[in-house]
Amino acid sequence: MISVRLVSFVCLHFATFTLLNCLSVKDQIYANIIADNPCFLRLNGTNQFGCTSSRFGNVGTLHLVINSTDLNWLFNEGKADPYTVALTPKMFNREVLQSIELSAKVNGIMLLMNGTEQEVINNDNLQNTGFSPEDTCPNRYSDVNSCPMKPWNPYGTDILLKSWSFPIFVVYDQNTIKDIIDCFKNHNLPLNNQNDQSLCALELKSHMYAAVDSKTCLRRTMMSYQNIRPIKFCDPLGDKNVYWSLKELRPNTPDKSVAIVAARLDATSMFQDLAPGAMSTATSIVTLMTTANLISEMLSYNDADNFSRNIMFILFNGEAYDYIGSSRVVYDMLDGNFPNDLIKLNQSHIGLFVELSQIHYDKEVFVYRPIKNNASENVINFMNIFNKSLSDDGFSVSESKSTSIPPSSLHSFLKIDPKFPGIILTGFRDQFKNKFYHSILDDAENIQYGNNSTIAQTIANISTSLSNSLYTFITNSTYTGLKQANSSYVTKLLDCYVKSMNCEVFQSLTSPLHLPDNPPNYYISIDLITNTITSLSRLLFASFGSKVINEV
Amino acid sequence: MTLLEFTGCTLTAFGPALSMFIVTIMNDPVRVIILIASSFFWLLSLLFSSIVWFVFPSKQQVWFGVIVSVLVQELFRYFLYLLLRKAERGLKRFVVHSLVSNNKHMLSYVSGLGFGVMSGLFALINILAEVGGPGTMGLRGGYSAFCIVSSIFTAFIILLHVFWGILFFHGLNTDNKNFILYVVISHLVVSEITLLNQYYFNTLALCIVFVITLGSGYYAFKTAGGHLPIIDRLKNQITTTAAEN
Repeated sequence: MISVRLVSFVCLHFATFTLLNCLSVKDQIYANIIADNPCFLRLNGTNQFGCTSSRFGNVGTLHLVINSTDLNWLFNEGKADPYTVALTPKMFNREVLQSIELSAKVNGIMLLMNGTEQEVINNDNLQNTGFSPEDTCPNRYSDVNSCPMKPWNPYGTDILLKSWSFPIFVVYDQNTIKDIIDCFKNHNLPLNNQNDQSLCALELKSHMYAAVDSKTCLRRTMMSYQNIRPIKFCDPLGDKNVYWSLKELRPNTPDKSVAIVAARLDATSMFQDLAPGAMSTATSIVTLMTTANLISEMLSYNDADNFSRNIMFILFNGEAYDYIGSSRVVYDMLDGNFPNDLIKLNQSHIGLFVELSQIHYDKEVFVYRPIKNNASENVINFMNIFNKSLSDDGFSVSESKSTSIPPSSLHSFLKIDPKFPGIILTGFRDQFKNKFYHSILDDAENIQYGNNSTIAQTIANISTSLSNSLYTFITNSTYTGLKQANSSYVTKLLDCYVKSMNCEVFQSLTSPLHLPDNPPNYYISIDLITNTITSLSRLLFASFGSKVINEV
Repeated sequence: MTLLEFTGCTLTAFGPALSMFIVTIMNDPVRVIILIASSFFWLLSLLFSSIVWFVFPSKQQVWFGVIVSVLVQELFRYFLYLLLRKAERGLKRFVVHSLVSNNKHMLSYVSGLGFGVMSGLFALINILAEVGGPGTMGLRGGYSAFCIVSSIFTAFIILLHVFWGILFFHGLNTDNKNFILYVVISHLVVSEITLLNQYYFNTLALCIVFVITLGSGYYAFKTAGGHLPIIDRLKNQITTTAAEN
C-alpha cells in the first residue's frame, strides 16, 4: 500500500509532470476563493452591528440567487440547509437580507460583482434603484435637527447599521465568480435532487472577537491584559484630523478673525479595505486642497502677514461615525486645547465656517445655512462674492429652502453655538444626488472621472470662486489678480484621491517611499493606525505656500 | 455527514485488524510487543525507501518507486524474521507460560499484522485527515466513492500483509523458495495495480486485489494447518466420486 502514499506524494510536488487528474486529496476536496473583503463588526455604546462568522468558519450549501424565485425556493423547499447565498447587488438590499435572516436557513452571503463595474450597474439597474448601505439619514442621532420628511439619502438601505448573524463577503475576481457559478451549476442542480448527491458548499470565515457593545468589549480587552497572552477583542476607532493655516496661528487671536474651510477625510462601506468614497468625500477633499493651494499662491506668506485675519483648512476624520473628528475639535476648543494650549482657538474666534460636502460634477452648487436671517456680515459677504464669481462661470448657485442642514461636521459646532456662522456648499438639493453614498461603488466612475471629464473643471471653478471669497475675507478687498485654479492640477489631485495613491503629486512628496498602487481606503480604521491617506494629505498641505529659503 | 463518512471509512479499513487484535493479540503482552516491533520494522523500510526515492533522479516514474519500495519492505520482513529467530529462544526461556511458542505460525501472524497495520495507517491517514473536514471528494476531479474505495484497499492490504507474513516465514522455516517468490510477486502485483486508481479503473483494481487476497488467504490458511469442514467435505466427495469412477 505504500504505492498510494507515493502517488499522493508525487502528485503533490510534481503535478505538472503527470498527465491525468493528479491533485492531492485536499485539492480534490477544496478550492480557495479569492475574496479578501468581509463585512466586519462594529460596536457603539449600546449595540453591535455588522457581521461575523463563527470561530471556525461558516459552511453552507451554495445557492445562486438571481431573482426572488430562487430565494423563495430556498425558503420553502430547500432541504440541504444551511445554505450560503451568492447574490448580485440587485438582490443585496434590506428586504432580501432581512428575509434571509428570518429564514434561519442561511449562514453566509457572497456578493458577486460579476463583470466590470459599469456592467454590474447596468445589469442590475443600480442607476435607478441606488446602492447605498447607509442610513437614510446618516448620523441621525448626532445631528442637531431631526431627519427631514424627504430623507437625505433616499437610496439608503440601512444594512450597514444592522447586526447580521452571518458573514458577508464581496467577490471581485472574475475567475472566482465564474468558479462559484460553475460549481453551483455542476453540483447543485437539479434542485429537486439535492439529497442524493454531494453538493458544492462555501466556507466563509471572518470571525470577529468583538461582541455586545463598546463598553463590554473594551472591558474584556482590559481584563485580558492580565493574562500572559492578552487578546484584543476590539479597538477604538480613531485617526487624526489634518489642519493647515494660511499663516501661523498666534495666541490672542481677535474674535471672528479666522475662516475655516472644512471637509471630511473619511468615508465608509460594508466591506473591509473597500471604502472608495469618491463622491462621498474625495471630490470635497480635492476642492479643499485646490483652494488651499490657490489661496496660498494668491496671498503669499509675506502678504498674508499684513492682515490680522487667517484661514484654516481642516480635514475632519471619522465623520461617518457620528462626527468623531469634528466633535473632538469642539471638545478641544471648549477645553482651550485647540490646536494647542498656547493658541487656544475657540468658536468665538471663528468668523466663517465653510464646509464642502459631496461636490458634484454637475455645474450647480447648493448652499445650506443654519441661520437664514440675521446672518453675520462675514457670511453674507462670502455668499455674495461666491455667488457672483461662480455664476460668471456658468454655474447655478442657489440656497436651499430646507430648514434642516444635511449631515456634516457643522452639526458638531452648532451643538455648542446655534448661531455659529457656518455654511455648507454641496452638489445636491435637499436629497443626495449620489446614488452610491458610502458604498463600494462610490468610486472614480461614480464621479464620471475619466478622460474629458467635467469634474475637474467643475472643481477648479468652485475652488477659484472659493479662493476669491476667502481673499476678500482676509483683505477686505476684491481679488484683481489672474490666478485661477488649474483643471490639470485638479486632475492630478483626483488621480491621487480617487484612482491610485501611487500618483505624481504624492510621489513628489514621499519620493523614495513606495506608495500602494490602489485607490485610498477612506475607512477611518482603528486608533493605533494613521491611515496612509491622512499622512499624505498632511504632507500635501505642508507643501503649500512654502516660503523658499535660499540659504540654509 | 462527513463525520459518518470518516467513521465508516476508518472502520472499513481498520475494523478487521482491530477485531483480530482484540481477539488474538491483546491478551498476551509478548504478542503486543512483537506487533509493535514489526510495525517499527515497517517504518524502517519506509524510511529506507524514502531515502532511495529522494536520491533517485527521475521521480516521474512512480511504478519504479513502487517496485523499490516493495522490495525494501520484503527485505525488512526478512530482517524481522532474522531478529525474531534470534529472540525466540530467549523469549521461550523468559516467558514459560506464554502462548507465543505454542504455534509456530503465531509469530508470523502477529508480525504480519504489525506490518499491515502500519502500512495501512500510512496509506490512509492523509485521506482520513481530509475526509473529517466539512468537504468531501469530488469538487475538482476525483469521484465520490474515492474514500470508501481507498478504505477497502487498505483493509485488503492489511489482510494481505498478515497472509504474506505467514507464507513468507513459513517459506523461510522450510527453505521453500516458492512461498517467498509468491509473496514478493503478489506484493508487487497488488502495489502496481493500485496505480490504476488514478485512471479511474478502481473497480477492476479492486476485483483483482480481492481475488489475490482471497487466494493468499486460503493459501496461508492451509499453510497454517487450517481445516474448513465444507472444503474437506467437498474434497471427500470429489475423491470418493473419483474412487467410485
